[in-house]
Amino acid sequence: MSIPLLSVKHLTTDIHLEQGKVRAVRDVSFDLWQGKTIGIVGESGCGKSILCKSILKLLPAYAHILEKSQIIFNGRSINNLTEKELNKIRGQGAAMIFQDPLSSLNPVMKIGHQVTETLLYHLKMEEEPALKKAEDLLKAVGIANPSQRIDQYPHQLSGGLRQRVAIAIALACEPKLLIADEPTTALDVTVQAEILDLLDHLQIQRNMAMILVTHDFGLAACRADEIAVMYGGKIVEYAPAEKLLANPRMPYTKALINAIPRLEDPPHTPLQFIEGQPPNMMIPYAGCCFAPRCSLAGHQCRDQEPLLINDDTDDHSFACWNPLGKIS
Amino acid sequence: MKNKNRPLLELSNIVVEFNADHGEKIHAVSDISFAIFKGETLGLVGESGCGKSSLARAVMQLPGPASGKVTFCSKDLAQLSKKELLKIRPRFQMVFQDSVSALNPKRSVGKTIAMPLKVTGNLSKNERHTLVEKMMSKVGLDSELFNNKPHQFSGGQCQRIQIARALITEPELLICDEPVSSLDVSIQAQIINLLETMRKQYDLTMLFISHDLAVVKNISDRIAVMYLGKLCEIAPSEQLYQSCAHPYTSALFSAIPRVNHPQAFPKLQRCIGELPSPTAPPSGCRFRTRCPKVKEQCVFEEPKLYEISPGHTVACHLFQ
Ligand SMILES: Nc1ncnc2c1ncn2[C@@H]1O[C@H](COP(=O)(O)OP(=O)(O)OP(=O)(O)O)[C@@H](O)[C@H]1O
Ligand SMILES: Nc1ncnc2c1ncn2[C@@H]1O[C@H](COP(=O)(O)OP(=O)(O)OP(=O)(O)O)[C@@H](O)[C@H]1O
Ligand SMILES: [Mg+2]
Ligand SMILES: [Mg+2]
Repeated sequence: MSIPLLSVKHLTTDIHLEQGKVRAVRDVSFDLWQGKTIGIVGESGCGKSILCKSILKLLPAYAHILEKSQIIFNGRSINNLTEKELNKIRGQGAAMIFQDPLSSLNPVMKIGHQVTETLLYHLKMEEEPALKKAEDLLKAVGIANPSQRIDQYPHQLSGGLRQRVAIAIALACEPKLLIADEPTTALDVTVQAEILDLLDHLQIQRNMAMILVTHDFGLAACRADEIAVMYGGKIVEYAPAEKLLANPRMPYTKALINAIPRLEDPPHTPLQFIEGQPPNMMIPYAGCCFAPRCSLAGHQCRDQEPLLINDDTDDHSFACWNPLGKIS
Repeated sequence: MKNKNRPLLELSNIVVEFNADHGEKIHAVSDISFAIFKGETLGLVGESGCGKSSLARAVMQLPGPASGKVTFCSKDLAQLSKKELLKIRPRFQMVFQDSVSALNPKRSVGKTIAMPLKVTGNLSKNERHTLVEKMMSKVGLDSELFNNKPHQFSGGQCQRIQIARALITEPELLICDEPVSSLDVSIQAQIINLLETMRKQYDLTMLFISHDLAVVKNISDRIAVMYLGKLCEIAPSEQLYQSCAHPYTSALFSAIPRVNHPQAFPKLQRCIGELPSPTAPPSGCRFRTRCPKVKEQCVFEEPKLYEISPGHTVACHLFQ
């Protein structure tokens, strides 16, 4: 395992709108190895979904990945691949679970067809065995009566069931890399645990790598090897999961963690939140993009952009001029 | 938590069913009864597909239940004429689970939020506009976005648009179906604080559906737990957390991923078996096929709700 399965370098994505250009992803770099999970957390609108879609080039036409960006999958740059070659990677190499399961499912197509579609197309299976495999897949994601469900349409399923169908479709071709954008947001905790156990199992069995986008820090803590915190399109802190949670260095990360309601607290405990709005990504900024909302911000923070640098000793990196203290 | 004795909303023996293929029926909600008191927040949790949204829609008369009675402010909603229902509608509102698809894509955000005000119809356009702008800032939306369309917003912002629309008539009852599940933790905290403020200011009563138990515990006075269309436990929040009784509730609490104890959640450890089909729910206790403490009695006899301590009710043979 000498090279990472996925290597992302300087990924930058612009979205062109009538009002102007939104830089949704800014110079993001990371490596992901086989069998590993990277968790991506951050406030709504910080660019998590656009990052995921950029990796598989599943962006809308008005989005544009900048030249300097590099995406290397399985040792091969996918920058200049044709649409046909990309399709092959999307089906068998890397699959994605989209954030909104209702919009990724076809509303007028029966569940069964939607699952078999990828099997017929990518694996060139015959109709009959494909349908059998579809039922097995639905069963594996915890759907009790797959033979009935395959004849139903998305609107006849509860939110959680639709999510499970989307997961089954993504797993159909046994991908090497699974990009899961909020895969369990619509699910209750027991089903969430079962599905993540299933994904874990696949990771161990097939060495599948995973990008797990979530706003649930608890989930990231339990399921990811490393966590990247995004803010304003950038990765602002990156570390092994336990380290990041035990000892966040970036004030933004700490503020996010403080906003989580705690089960131990009595009912009606007021919650902390981050004052102010996330940055407007239309406007280029000088300095640290969190500075306007940061209580520790000084002159340097407002004038000079901090780079993502390694902690002097280890694998913990953060982009901050005034990092929180290190607990040794 | 005042006025504990006067229920604002009372559900009696609610049943919701859907037709499946081959003449079979999906039993989404089977005989559920509970009351919510004025100013109280009742949390509703349970496995996905257990019927939470179906129950919420039945309360909203979208459509009403197949059988059973929904009483709001001492009025049986099924007995009201269309006109009477329209008149009472602004007093109970709902925030839907699928925030993006619950919004009309062609209608601007400002108009969407103003819609319930238009229905009641005694405000001028300017008055409505001012109220909408105020509400937008309350839920953390920039009022400059008044004329934007829903597709120009992220999932979290669509959720706030819905919340603003639901709160604009200052309803007495608000039903929230997963109102914060697509939000990040900071906005989630803001929305919960906002709902809490509304509760204190206007004595807002809420039915709050969520699968995030920490969120539910934070916002609710009492929590009801559902499993496969049935109520299995209901108790004051703190009490449910400290000493839940039903084996399903225990399973729920043990599956919570927690920041502070990741090691308490070992990978590949628990799997409580396959979900039963809602078209043919198990006989006796519906949880028995996955219950670690199942007894023979559970197969034949359906457990009744039984009060094990004041305000704490459980449907499980272990406690009878
Ligand atoms: N289809 C689109 N049209 C216009 N702008 C968009 C579109 N999709 C995303 N954006 C903008 O790009 C930025 C990043 O969006 P993205 O969807 O990646 O956020 P996110 O981190 O996934 O948020 P969330 O947690 O709400 O899903 C946001 O500022 C958003 O407004
Ligand atoms: N319109 C419909 N037609 C047929 N079946 C339906 C319909 N709506 C819901 N159901 C079924 O009723 C059952 C309960 O669904 P409901 O949406 O109430 O669950 P839920 O508890 O809200 O789940 P989730 O947490 O996933 O949102 C499910 O088996 C679902 O498939
Ligand atoms: Mg997203
Ligand atoms: Mg629901």
